[in-house]
Amino acid sequence: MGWVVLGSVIALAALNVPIGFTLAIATIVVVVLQGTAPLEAIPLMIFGGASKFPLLAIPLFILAGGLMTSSGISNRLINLASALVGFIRGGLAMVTVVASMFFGEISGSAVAGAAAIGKVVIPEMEKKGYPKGFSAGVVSNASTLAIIIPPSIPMIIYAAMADTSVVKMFVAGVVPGLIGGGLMMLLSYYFARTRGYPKEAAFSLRVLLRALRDGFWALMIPVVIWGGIFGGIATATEVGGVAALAAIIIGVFIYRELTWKQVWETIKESSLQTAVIMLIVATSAVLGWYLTNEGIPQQLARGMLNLTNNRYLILLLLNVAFLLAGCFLHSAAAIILIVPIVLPLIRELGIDPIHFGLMVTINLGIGQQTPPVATVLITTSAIANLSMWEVFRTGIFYTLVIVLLTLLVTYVPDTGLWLVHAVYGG
Amino acid sequence: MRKLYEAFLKVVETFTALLAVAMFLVVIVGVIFRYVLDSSLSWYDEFAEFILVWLTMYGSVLALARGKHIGFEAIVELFPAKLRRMTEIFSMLCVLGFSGVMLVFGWILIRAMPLECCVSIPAVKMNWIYSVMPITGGLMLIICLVKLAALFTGGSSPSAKGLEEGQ
Repeated sequence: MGWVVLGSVIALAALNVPIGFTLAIATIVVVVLQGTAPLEAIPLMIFGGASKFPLLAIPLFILAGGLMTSSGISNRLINLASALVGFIRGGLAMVTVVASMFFGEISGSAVAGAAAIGKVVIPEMEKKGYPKGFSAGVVSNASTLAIIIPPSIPMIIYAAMADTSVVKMFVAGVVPGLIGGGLMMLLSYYFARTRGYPKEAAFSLRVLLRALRDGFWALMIPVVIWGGIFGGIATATEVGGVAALAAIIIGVFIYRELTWKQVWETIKESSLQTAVIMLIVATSAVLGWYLTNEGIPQQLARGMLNLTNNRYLILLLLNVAFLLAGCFLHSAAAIILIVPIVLPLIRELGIDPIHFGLMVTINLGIGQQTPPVATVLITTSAIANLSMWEVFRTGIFYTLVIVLLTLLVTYVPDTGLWLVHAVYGG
Repeated sequence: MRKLYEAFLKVVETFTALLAVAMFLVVIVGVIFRYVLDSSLSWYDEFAEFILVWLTMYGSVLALARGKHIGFEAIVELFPAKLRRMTEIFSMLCVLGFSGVMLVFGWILIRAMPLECCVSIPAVKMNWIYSVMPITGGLMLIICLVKLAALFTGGSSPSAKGLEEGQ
């Protein structure tokens, strides 16, 4: 029956049945064929799949990301990035990477970052003579830093599934996020040198100070987020709501760029985005319920351990599995579907769940950049008005940075865990 | 007819957005009560979760109507127009089947829980909360029928994805 499920998922998905429905329909098919469970289980399980508190991070961070774009916060972050690194050759590509890192610090969603930064930077880069495909590739890949640099929706969901500490996950993401950003900047510098991309205005302390003053309130948002989490005021999930509230207050009352009508439009837009992702999340839970009932997780653990108990090899195979899943599923759905299946195996091997979670998060970041289901790539391509494949092709070296980062955290666990140990001891 | 359908979608859209507002406010109020007033609201987590399910399902109805659900278009795009149309009809029939299951078995499900109540507020019956499943199943069913009718009468393909600015 496992093969029937897998076969129906692939066949239905290939025929362009939306993924969210595909997962549910495949489960309905096997439930009917087997006749062991009543079909009432389907609506019950979809309900159960969506009603988990940590999942509130998805709508809250999507809303916060949307509000930060329309409130003028993201523009100020881009200005600040420009004042910091614009003077280097390939300045705008650098600015994109740095602005994405700032945005990652205040948002848990890469799609929000790609939309916010892409809308400003891609037209600007076109004016300065960068090829459009290249600009879109940089924006798209740099946005993935948002899920590595805390806060991060995938990390929140992983922590809930694996029953581990969200805050430790967040801390583990800091160093890999900085390494990823650094590598992307180096790459931009290399391309700028070899292809002759321009610099922006020369560095000026006055401009930087003005950008800092202008962006003061925007920079308060990470303070609110981290203060909220570490101060025990709000959980990592709730802090998305606090960030959205901060964005409304800053946008409406301080910057005065956000009207209530825009707030309403952003809410409408983000609830539609939420529903699209959440349907996949909820129906992944249905399929996951079926697979767990069939004892697939235990079978997989046994099968794998019979094959090999070399943890490096198993981690490599798991990376391949997540890479494939990431190509077809949204990262949240991939975590909900696969993490419970492989967790017995991870425990058996004695792998630190934080280490594994970091690997999964960054790995699924690759999936955001690889067609066919690549939320971030699709968003950026739409903004640049290019085909998804073209942006994928021109951005491939940046995607390779994320691949490299995945391998780094997989095989050098201390890349991420070092800071966790430094903060929490042990 | 068309006007009625548009008005219906408008209602679903507004309702979904109001659910999002409610969820946002519940979370903010929940945090304020727990941290500032130091008295946790007993219903806070449970109701925030319920609103999320409603938001997911009603938003999915809207996303279905607007053709926003994420699919895997790469293979179908290679098909000749006629075959492509057939896959669109097939895809819609699959969603129709799913909606039917949600409507019928969702209904059976809520009939099976006449006495169950929420944990935090016993006055709220669980079958009110679960009513979202058969209701959205029914709404999706209507949308599938409208889309199928359009596909069969050869109108413009309503499931084609509009890559609007910012999507």
